[in-house]
Amino acid sequence: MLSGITLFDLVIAAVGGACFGIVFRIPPRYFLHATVLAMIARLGASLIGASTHVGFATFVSAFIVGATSHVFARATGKPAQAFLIPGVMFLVPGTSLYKAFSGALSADYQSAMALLVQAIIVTASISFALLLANWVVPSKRTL
Amino acid sequence: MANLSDTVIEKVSPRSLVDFLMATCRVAIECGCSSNRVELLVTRLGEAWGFSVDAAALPTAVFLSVRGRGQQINELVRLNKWSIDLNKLALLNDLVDQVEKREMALDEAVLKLQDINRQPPPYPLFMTVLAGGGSSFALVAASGGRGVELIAAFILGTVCQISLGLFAEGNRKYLADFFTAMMVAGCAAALAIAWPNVNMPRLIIGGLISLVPGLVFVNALHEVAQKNLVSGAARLLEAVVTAITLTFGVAAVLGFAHYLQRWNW
Repeated sequence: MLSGITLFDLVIAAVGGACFGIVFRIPPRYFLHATVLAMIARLGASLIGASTHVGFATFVSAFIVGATSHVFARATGKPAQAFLIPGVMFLVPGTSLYKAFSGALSADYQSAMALLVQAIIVTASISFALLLANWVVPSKRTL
Repeated sequence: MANLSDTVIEKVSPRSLVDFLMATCRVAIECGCSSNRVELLVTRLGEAWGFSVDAAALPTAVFLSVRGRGQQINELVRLNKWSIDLNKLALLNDLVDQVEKREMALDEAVLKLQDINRQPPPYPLFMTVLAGGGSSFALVAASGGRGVELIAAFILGTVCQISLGLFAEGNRKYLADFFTAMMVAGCAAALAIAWPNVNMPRLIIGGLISLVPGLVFVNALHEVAQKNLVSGAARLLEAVVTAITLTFGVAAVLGFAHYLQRWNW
């Protein structure tokens, strides 16, 4: 156990990364890369998120995932997006977004607004982290 | 691989470049490539073949303007469907790399693009269905679910993928999302009756994880941050409409279940 992260959490992240990879049809030979990135995302978000704001934790994790996916893209000659999407799935605020709309539908506007703002903060963190990662480790390819 | 000779390249007409760029844009956007990447790609491909290309890519259309050899051609590519297919994106990446280095003729590249478009998924259907179950399992486990909740999440994830396979054809994306949300919510309600201790909202979100528009939302802000305002706004709207569709699908079933409960069914 490492600061709240158990081996089970890492295994779950690996399973999730692999499954998202299949759902998004990642080329089979890059399966392991997607798994590693999902584990990095989960590890980063949990380790940093334990002591700081969720937005900052997401920003740092997304930056690491983005930079690593560009490194993988350079090593394999494939688009960085192929590695990035399964890796970043554990960070995207789909749950908050859904809960926000669900809350609004059940007239719980206060919590719906709070969840929507949280989703926007997390999304903006990921977007700017990926832009920064693209700038720090630029792609060799256009796609 | 040997580069094509300069005389061959000089004989390339703007029309054949436009045909190739239109086919490339179509495959790239349908595979989930971002608009700014598509615009950059077609500009670079045009330059590599001695043409000046301007492009404006949106999730639903691409506008192209190709100038060179004393001609100007303006074209519009209309797009009706888009998803994420990383295998096709990787194949497209290899192809455009060869075309950019002028190692392949444009006519041949158009034929190869048609092959990429017809490419079957790299995984069999049953594996995609199981992976849908696995992703729901992982999400529910990551958000604190344990025991029977994990089994229930796996079942709902597979239901989601089967439902998508049944309903998502052609331009019925939002209708497919609505029916899938209804099916997942219905199955979650049935599982909650069988296992009363499970957290039903968590199961529904877990089951619908491959549909919730978190990634679309991220891509939208990513495009806005790169000053691709129209494309970003379009994706943002897509995320909102998808979230509303899923919410209404779930609400329809839960509302119906609520009435059944009131009438002691």
